[in-house]
Amino acid sequence: MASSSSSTSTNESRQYRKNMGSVISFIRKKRKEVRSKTAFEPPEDFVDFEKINNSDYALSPEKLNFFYPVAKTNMNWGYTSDSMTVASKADVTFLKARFPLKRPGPDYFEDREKEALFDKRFALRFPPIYYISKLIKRERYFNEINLFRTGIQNSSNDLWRR
Amino acid sequence: MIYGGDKFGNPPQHYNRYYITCLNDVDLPQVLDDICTNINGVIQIYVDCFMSTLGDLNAVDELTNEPTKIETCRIMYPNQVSHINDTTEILTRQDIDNLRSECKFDAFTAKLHNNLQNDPFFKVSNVRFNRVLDYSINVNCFPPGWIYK
Repeated sequence: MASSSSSTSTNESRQYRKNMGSVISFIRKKRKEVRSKTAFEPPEDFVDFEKINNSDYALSPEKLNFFYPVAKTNMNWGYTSDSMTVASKADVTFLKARFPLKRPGPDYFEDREKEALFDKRFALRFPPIYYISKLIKRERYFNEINLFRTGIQNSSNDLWRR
Repeated sequence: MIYGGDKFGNPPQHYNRYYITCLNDVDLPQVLDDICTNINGVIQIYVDCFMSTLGDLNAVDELTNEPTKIETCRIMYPNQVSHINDTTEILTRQDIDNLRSECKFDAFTAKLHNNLQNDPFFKVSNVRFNRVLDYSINVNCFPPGWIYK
């Protein structure tokens, strides 16, 4: 009894394995077909680390100037010294031409607005006339500073050299 | 993100910064267009205004001893953070057009009016928008490579 039962089980298992093998082979074939259709074909300039590592180490002087400009240090990445000063000068000339100083006339404010403007109790910490006078002072101060700035810089450089 | 700076520790956005004030008789969209097209660099722009507001002050009539209300006028000035325009970074022509549409007189005053209406503090005290006194325009100019940093 035992032998007969074992023989039937082996036959069954053999048949089962055969079927499974055919199924697996079928799946593999299908998978190959699908993958051949949807395969990723990288373009020639695709990111390739070998190519990147084989790039040009000996840069030409033009490229060196472009990638590592002499004026730029690791601390000075704001383009303040060379190009931006020119740009800011152009901006200031434009703004001065476009927005000339214009003072409002006596009829510009309503009477109740004038009361509010020069009221010490509310709104601003001090009445606006205080801030306006401060602004004028500051402008005058910076103009004077700009006159003497070059002299100060030279003297400091001399000190360092000594 | 901006990580650049100079040897004095100042980040570059503090270098070219213009604060422009105009009286209320200017054509604001045209002014903003001129600024955006003529100033160098990548522009970040904030538009706001000084304005006068009306409010009611509670008082008592001395003769009849009845509570009354007195209309008061106050000046509101732009906070450093607040701005009326939604498009602040100007990178394309479309941004300038959006800015123009946002800063047209009707839209601008409507936004101011809504801001006062929606603020719970001013809602309670019944503060109303009266008129624009002058426009204040804050322009930050970044270096051209700013967007790539």
